[in-house]
Amino acid sequence: MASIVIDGLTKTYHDNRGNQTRVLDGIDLTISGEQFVSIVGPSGSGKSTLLNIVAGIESHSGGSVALTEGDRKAKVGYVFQDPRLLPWRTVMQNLGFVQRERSGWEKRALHYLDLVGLAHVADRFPSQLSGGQQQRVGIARAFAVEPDVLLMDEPFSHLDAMTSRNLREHLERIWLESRRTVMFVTHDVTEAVQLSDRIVVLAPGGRIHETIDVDLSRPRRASDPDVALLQAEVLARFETLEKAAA
Amino acid sequence: MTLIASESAQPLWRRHAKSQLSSAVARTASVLTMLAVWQLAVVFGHRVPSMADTFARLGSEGAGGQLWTNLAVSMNRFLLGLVAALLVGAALGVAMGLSRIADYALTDLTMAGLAIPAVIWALLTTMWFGFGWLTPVTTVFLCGLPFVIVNIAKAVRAIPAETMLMARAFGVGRAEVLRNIIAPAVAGSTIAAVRFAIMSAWNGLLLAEWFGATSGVGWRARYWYDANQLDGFLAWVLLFIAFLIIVNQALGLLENRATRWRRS
Repeated sequence: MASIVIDGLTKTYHDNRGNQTRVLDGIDLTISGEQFVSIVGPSGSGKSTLLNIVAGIESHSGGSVALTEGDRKAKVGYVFQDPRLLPWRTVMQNLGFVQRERSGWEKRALHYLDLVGLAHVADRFPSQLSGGQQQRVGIARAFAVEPDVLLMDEPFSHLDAMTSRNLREHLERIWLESRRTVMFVTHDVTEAVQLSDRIVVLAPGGRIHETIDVDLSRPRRASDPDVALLQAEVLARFETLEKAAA
Repeated sequence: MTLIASESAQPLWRRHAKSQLSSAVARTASVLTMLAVWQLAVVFGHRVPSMADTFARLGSEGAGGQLWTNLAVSMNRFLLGLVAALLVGAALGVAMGLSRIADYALTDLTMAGLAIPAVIWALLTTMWFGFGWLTPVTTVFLCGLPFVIVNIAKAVRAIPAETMLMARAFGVGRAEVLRNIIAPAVAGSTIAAVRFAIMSAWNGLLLAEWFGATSGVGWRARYWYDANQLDGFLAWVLLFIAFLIIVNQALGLLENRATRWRRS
């Protein structure tokens, strides 16, 4: 079983004048098994920093992070805010580039491209795709490495509402099929309620404000009454937090 | 408005053919102008050899075997020096693009290398190594190296940090990063670097062979210069220019191929 264990994590930035800014302050969080956990919070609450530290692409000042699958290090897939595809490689080559297990990667890549409805563009260059299609390739790329842990950093924030809604449905469908451990950063409460099993709310200053369990059946739609009700409730709490921070 | 509509309505092959035709007309006009200027210089000047004499001399050099022997010797030296400059320059350029320390350590040296004219390298190497193959090869290497370093370092620096972080997040190995990110990202600039390096290095080769060799294109041009036979001298200079033009055209085609993803 894959797990992300974050223990007493802190992150402090130092500027040239010696001033310190703490962006994460003693984060304790465990995500394990087939859990989809969203991290929400106002701007500056350290959501993306937390995710980058978990991914190992940013250093931390204190505490620890462990990503494991059984007794080995977990394999990580990452979906970024922007697709970050290599413009000089075709879609298929982009998926091939991140594969650490070479055997059968083409079959895996085509499977996930098919799940996001893009198997027919496998031989095209990224510049020949729309923004939404590129982001879907980014999602397929992350799933195609068959990760133990999937990290996602506001993957739909640069897209229009319609494309974003469609991609959420794509994502939920793929996740239901693969059941990875997911840590999903977003500032969009609708997205968090629709996709998550648990929502972790970060407060400004990088502390965990509260954790909300989402016990709703899947697949979910934003228009489902239960989803809409919980969404309104989380949004109200979120607004209270933002007002307190202001 | 009407003009735009009619142009965009043209089939792709016709627009392509039109563009190719314009390019061919411009090039032909340029060559004809140069030949006309040459002919004027022959008519009004005192010591400018005619086209007929010059090409006849080139023909006799070919028939006597001097043309191919000396061209082969020069090409051999040129390729050896250029390949060494490309290998060393690519390694240093990538290091400068990725590491700030390497950048600080090598920037001033590279700038100095760019500022030194080919003739200085040719004279220095002649003094260091005397008459022999090492003089022109080292001159080619030293003339080409700074151009390769500067262009490749610039291209590596231009790779977005986000792309490198993406590779890190997925745990992609260094060899794969080099093959799939750094090499394609610098491909266009590498060809630009090779073009500049060839111009400078070929120049250096001619001078090095002029001062410090007993064979090669530069040496043969000097032979005719010393003999006061200007048709022979001009014939070898023409060969020198023709080589640069052919290589430049070939590299242009290669550059188009390396950057085709940009036009897709």
